[in-house]
Amino acid sequence: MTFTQFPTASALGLLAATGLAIVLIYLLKPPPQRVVVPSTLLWEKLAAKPRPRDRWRTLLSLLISLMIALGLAAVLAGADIMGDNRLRRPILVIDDAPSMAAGANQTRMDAARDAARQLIAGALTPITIADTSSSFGIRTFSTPAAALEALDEIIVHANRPTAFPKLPADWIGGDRHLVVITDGVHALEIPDTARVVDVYEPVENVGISRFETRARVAGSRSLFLEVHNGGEQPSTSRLQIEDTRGTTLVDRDLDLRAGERWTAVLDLDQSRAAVEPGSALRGTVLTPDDGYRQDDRAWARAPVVSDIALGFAGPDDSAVKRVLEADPGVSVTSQIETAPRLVLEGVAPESPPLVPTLLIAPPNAPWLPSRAETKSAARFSELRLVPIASTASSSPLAADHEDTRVIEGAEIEEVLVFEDDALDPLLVSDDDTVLAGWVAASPGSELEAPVLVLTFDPSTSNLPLADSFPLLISALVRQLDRVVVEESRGPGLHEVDTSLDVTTDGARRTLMQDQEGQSVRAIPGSPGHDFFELQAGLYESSGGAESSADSMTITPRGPVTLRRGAELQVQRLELAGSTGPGLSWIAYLVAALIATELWLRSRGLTE
Amino acid sequence: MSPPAAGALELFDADFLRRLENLKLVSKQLLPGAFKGEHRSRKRGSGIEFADYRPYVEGDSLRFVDWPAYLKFDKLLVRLFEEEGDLPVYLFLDSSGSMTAHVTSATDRTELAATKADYARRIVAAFAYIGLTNLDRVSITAYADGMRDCLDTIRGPGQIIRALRFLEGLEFSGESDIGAALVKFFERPRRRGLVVVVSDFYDASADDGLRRLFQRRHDVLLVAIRDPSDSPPDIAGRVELIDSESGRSSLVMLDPALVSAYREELEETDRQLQSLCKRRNWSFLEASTQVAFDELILEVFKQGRLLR
Repeated sequence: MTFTQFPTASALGLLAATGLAIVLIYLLKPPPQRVVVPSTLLWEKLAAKPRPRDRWRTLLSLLISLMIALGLAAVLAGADIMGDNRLRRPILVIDDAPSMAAGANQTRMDAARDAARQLIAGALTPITIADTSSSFGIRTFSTPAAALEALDEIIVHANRPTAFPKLPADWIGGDRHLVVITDGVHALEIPDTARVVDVYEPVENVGISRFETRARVAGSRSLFLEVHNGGEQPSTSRLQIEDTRGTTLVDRDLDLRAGERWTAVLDLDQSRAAVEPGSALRGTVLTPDDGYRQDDRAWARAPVVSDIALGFAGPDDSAVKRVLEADPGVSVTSQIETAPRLVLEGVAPESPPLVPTLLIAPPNAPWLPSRAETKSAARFSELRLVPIASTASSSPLAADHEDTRVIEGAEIEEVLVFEDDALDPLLVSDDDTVLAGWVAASPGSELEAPVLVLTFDPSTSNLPLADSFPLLISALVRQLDRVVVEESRGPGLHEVDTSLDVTTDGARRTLMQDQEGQSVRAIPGSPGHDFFELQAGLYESSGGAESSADSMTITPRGPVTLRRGAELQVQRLELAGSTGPGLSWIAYLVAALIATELWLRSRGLTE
Repeated sequence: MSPPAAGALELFDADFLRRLENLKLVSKQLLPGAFKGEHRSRKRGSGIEFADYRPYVEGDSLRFVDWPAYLKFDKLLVRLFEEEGDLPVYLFLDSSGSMTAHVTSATDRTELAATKADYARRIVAAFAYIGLTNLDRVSITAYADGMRDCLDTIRGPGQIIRALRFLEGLEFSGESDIGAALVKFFERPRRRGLVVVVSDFYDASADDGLRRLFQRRHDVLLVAIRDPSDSPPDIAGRVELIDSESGRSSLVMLDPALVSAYREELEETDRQLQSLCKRRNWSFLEASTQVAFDELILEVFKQGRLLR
C-alpha cells in the first residue's frame, strides 16, 4: 500500500497520532533545573563566545530530527526502501478469497486491483499474475497493458478453496519480485521473500454466523440461528426466514450492539407454518451500509426423520405395545417375520434373531447368556455380574438385583437403570446417543444383529409408566437402529462454531465469523495487522453431498483459549506489515530515535 | 591600646583583635598624612629619619646645618628629615546580592550564612582596625546599586567599635557597581591614600571605576573574594541560571565542556585583575573563604607584603 492508497481516515489518524507524539515529546521534555548563582555575568560572556561543540550539537539534533521526520514519513507513506524492484520480473499473487469482497464503497478486491495496477504500470519486464482460488490460474503477460486488462478477470469466488498458488520453485526469489496482495484473512503460505501488500480494511458487518437445523430423538426439529454484529457500530438489521414455498417464518428487526451475537432456536414443528421435511430454508439479514454481503444469506434444509418400522410380540395388554403405538416415529406391525426390527416382550426366539431386536424380560434361551456384567454408577470402578431377570419377574429394580438370574459374559454397553437415580440422564447423552441397553450373547454364539435386553418387566417395575417408561422404550427402540436424521444445507452454508474465543497477548478477542466458514478477525496491531483464520467444523457442500471437516486452523499471535469446539491446529500467519518488510523496523527505528533524542536532551547533548 | 570588649563584637573575638593590634598597615608608597600618624611622609619636617640635603637659606635653623659637610664641601647644607604622617585608608566593601548567593536549587533558596559577605566584612574590619590603631584616617564605604552607605573619615582606636557596628549593620543586596560608588565617593576632594576594594568583582563597571583610582594615583589593593558558590553547578543538562543580584535568568546547556570553559573564564577574570594590578603597581589578593580567616590575615597578607 502506498501513501496514495492510504485511506483518508487512517491517514488522518496517523497524522493525528504523529502530532500527538510530537506534543508528547514536547511535554515530556524535562524542564530545566533552576539554579541560583552569584552572577550570570560570566555565563553570558561564555554564551557570547562560539563553541565548536555547539555546532556539533546542533548538527546532531538536526540530524536526529531529520531522521525522525523521514521515518515518520516512511511510515505514513509506506515507502518501500528495500530497493527498486522495477527491474525484477514481477509475480503478482492476488487473493480472491471471499473476504476480499468486503468493503463499503470500495471492496478489498478493488483495492487489490488498484495496487496491482500500480505495480504493473511500473514494470519493465513480463508480468505474471496468479490468484489464490485457481480460477484465474497463473498467467504471464508480456506487456503491462495486457496484464492490466486481465486484472478485471480476477473476481471473488465464494465457494472455491483458497490456497497460495503453486509457483515453480525457481520463481521464488532470484530475479523475480513476488508480491502478494491480500487482506490477510486467509492463511496463505507466503514465501519469506515475498512482499505482502495489505489491502485489509475493516468494515461494518452484520451477518448470519449460524444457521443450522437439527432433529432431536423423540423431539422436534429446530433451527439454530445466530446473527453477529462484527462491526464496531450498533446496527439495526432486518431478519427474514422463509421456506421454498415462500412462507415467511420470521420477519423482524434486530437491534444489535457492536460485537453482539443474537441467538435463537426456532421450532420448525411449532412455527406458524409447519415446515415440510426436506424443504429448504433461507435466512436473510439486511443491514444498511453492510460491508460484507457474503454472510447476509444462509441456507438450510429442514430435517427429515424417517419412521421406525418394527414388529411386536407380547401380551395383548402390554404397556410396551401401547408406548410403541403412541410413538409418532414408530410404526408397529404384528408381522414379525418380515419386520426389519423386533420388540419381543416375555418371549425369545430359539436362535439369535436376524434383525435388530429388543428383548424385554426374556425367558431362558440357549443363545442367551445367563448373566451380564454391569457397571454401577454408585460403585463406578466395580464390575459386577448382574443377573438377567427371569421372565416376568417382579424385580423391583433392587439395588443389587440379587434375586435375578444372570447372563454370563454379556457385553455391557452401559448401565441400564439404577435405583434412586433419575432415569432421564441415563437415557440420552450429550451427543444424543442412547445409553441404555446392551448387546447380549452367550459365549460361542454369534449374533446376526444387535440385540438389546431389558432384564425386567417394565410393566411390573416401579418405573413411572406415564413419564420415564415411554421415554425409555422410545430410546431403546431407536437404539436398535440409529435414527436417521437427514440434515442438509444449501450451497455456501457452513456450520461454524460460534463460541470460540482467542486470547492473544493477554487480551481476549472474539473472532468475527462469516458464513463461508472463515472466522475472521483483524486485530490492529503496531505496526500493521495480525490476522486470524478459522476453519472449523465446516460442512463443505458439493453437489448436494455433505462432508465434514473436523480440523480447525487458527493463526493467532499468542495462545488460544477455546471454550468449546473442535481441536485446534495453531499456526502463526506471518504478515510482515502493511507495506512490506521495511515497515516494522521503520516504526521501531522511529521510536528508538525519539527515545534517543529525549535521552540526549536530558543529558544536554542536543538542544 | 587595649582591644575592645569582645562582648560588643560579633565579627571578631578579643584574641583576634589583640593579634591584629601588633600589625602595621603599610602602603607601598609613602603617602603624605595630614596628621602625625605612624607613617613616613614625603613631607620634610621634624622627624628623625634623614631624608636629603638642601642649600641653606636665610631663616633656616642652624640646628639642621650639617657642619661636617660644610667642612668638606665649603657649603652650608641643611639636613632634611622625613616627617611621620597619617595615611588615608579608603575601604570599599561590595554589598551586592552576589556576596550572599549560594549554589542551590530554586526550590531550596536557603542562603547559608552569607559566607562571602561575612568573610569580606571581616577583612574590611581588619583593615579598619589596623588603620585606626595606627592613627590613620579610615573611611568605609559599602556599595551596591551605587554607593549604599558610608562611614566617612574616622580616626583613632576609639572609633573601632563604631566601624564594626557599621559593618554588622550592612545589608547585602542589589547589583554591584563599583564605578558609580567611586564617582560618588570622590566627588569631594580626597587626599591620595590607600584604597582597598573587597569584592567578588562580578561587576561590569569594575574597569572604569578602577581607572579612576589610577588617575588619582591612589595606592590600591584589590581583594577578590572567592567561594564555592562561584563554581559552576554540579549538574548537567538544561539549566536555568538565576542571577542572585538582578534576578535575570540565563538558559544554558551544562556539560563538562561548558563547565570547564566557565572555570577557565573565572580564572581568566582573576588573571586580568592581577595583571591590571601589576601594571599599575597595585596589589591583588585572591581570598578564598575556604582559607581560615586567621590564616588569611596573619599569613596570606604577610606573603602579599601588605602587612609587616
